[in-house]
Amino acid sequence: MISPRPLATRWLARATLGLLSVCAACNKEPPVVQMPNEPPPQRAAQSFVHCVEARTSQCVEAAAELGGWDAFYLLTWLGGGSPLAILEALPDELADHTDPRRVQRRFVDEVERYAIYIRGAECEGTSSQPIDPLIDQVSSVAAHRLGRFGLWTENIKEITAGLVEEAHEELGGGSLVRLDCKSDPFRLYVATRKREGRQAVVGLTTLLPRFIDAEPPDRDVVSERLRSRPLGLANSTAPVVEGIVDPWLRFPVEEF
Amino acid sequence: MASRKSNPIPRRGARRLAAPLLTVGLMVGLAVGLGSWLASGAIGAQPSNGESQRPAQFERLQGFSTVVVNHVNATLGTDKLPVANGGGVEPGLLVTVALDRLQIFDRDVAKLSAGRVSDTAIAAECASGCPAVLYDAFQRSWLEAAVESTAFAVEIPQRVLLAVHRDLPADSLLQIAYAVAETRPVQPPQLALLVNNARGSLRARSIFLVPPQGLELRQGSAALGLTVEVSPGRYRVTATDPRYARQHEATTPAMLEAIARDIKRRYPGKETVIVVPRDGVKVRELMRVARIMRDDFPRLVLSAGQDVRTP
Repeated sequence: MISPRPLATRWLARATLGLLSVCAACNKEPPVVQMPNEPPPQRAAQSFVHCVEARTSQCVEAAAELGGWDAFYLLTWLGGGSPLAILEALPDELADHTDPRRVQRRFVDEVERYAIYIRGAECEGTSSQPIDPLIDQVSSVAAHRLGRFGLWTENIKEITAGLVEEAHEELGGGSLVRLDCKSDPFRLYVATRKREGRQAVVGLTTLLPRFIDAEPPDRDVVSERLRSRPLGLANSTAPVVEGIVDPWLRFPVEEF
Repeated sequence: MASRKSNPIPRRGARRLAAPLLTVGLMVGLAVGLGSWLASGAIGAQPSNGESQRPAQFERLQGFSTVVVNHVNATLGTDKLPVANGGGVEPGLLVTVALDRLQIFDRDVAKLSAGRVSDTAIAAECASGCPAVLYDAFQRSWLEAAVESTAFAVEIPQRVLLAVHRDLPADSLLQIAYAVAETRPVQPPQLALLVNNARGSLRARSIFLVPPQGLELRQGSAALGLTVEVSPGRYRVTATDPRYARQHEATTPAMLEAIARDIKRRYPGKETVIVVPRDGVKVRELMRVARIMRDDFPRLVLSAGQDVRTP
C-alpha cells in the first residue's frame, strides 16, 4: 500500500523550493531591457515599419524633410531611371515637387501601396548608410548620364543643382536604411533624419538603382514582384483582340 | 498626423526650382513636338564623331530621338546598324547590342564575346531557352519600369527598340528579343529593330516573334505560314500549311525574290513571312532577306525554330 504522507512531503518540498527561488528573484535588480544593438536610424526605420504595419499612412509625418527625400528620389531617377520616362514626366514631377502637399501625398501613396503587404512580410533592418555621400554620388551619376544622352542643358544643370542643395539641406546627416523582407515587397529602403533629438523617417521606396545598391534581388523575387498587387500587375491581363493570330503576333490571321 | 495643408508656404528648395522649372516645361514640351517630327523621318543617322553632342544642339534636338542617336553613336555608331527600310522611331525601351556588350539604355547588363553571351547558362523560366544573364537583366529592367510607373506619371513601355550591330549573330538577336519579350509583364512588347535606310536615315523596322512555345493555328484559319530558313548563302522556302506541299531552294537573292513574287501571285492576301536564321547567319543577312521579301511580304516574323502548325 502506498502511503499518502511521502507524496505530501514531496509536494511541500517542491513548494518550498519554488518559494525560495521566487524570493531570490525578488532580491535581484529589476531586469534591464536591452535596446536592439542596431544604429539609431535602423531602429527608427524598424519602428516606422511596425507603425505602418499597424496604422498605415498615419505614420507619415508632415515635415519639411519630406522635400529633401523627394529631391533625392528625383535625383536617383535622373541617374538611374528610364530616359523615356524622364523626358515624358520630368516637367510634371518637378511641378509636383514644388508643392509640399503633393510631396507628402507621394510618400503617403507609397506607404499605403505596401502597408498591408509589409504587415506579414517580417521586414528586418540589414544595413544603414549615411545619405550625404549618396546625394553627391547620385548627382554626379545623373549629370554624367544626362550629358551622355545629350540632355545636360544649362536648365537641367540648374535644376539638378537645386535638387542637390535641397537634399543636403533637408536630408543632411540622415541615413538610408535597407530592410529585407520575407515576402513582397522583399526589400524596403527607408530614409531617416535626426530632428529635435530623435530620428524621423522621411522617405520610403522598394527599389533603388544599382549604383546605390549593387546587390540585385533574386530572380524569384523579381518574378513575384512583376505579378504583384502593389504594382498593379496581379490581375492585369492582355486585352483580348479578335481576329489576331496570337498575343505575340498581333495582326489579322488572314494575312499570316 | 499633422497635415501638409497646415504649411502652404513652398519650401526654400522648391522656390529655387520654380524659375528653371518653367523653362524645362517649355523645353520638354518643345522636345516632344520635335521628337514626333524627328520620328516622322526627318532625322538623319548622325555621324559618330561627337558633332551631335555640341551644346548648341541640345535645346533644338532634345527628345527621345536625340537620346537614341546620341547613345547609339556613342556605343555602336549608327553606321553599324543593318540596312533596311522602316517606319519612324517611336519611343520605347532601348536595347543596344554591340559585339562585346549589351546595354539597356546606358546600363551594361551583359558581356558578349563576338556577339555571343559569355555565360550560356539557360534560365529555366525562359520558355524559348534564353540565357539566364539576359532573362535576369530584362526582368529586372521591367521591374524598374513597373516601380517607376507607380512613382511617376508614366506607363511601362509597350515598345522595345533593338539597336544591334549588323554583324551580330542572328541567333543572339533572337535570344535577346525573346528574353526581353518573355519577361515583360502582362503582354509581350512591340519590337522594332533600328536600321539605316538607303538614304542613311535612322528608321525602325517592326518585327514579331513566333511565340516561344510554338504556335498551333485554329482549324480553318487558312494561314499559309510562309517560312524562309536562312543559312549562309542558301535560302529554303516552305510553308506551314500542309496544302502548300512545296519546298524551294534559292542560292541568290534574285532567286529568292523570284520565288517570293511567285508565291505572292498565288496568295495575294498574305502579308507575312517567318524568317528562321540557321547557324552562321548574321543580322545583316537576316535583314537582307527582309528587304528582299518586303515588297511582297512586308510583315516580318522571326523564329528561333519554334514549331508552327497549321491543321
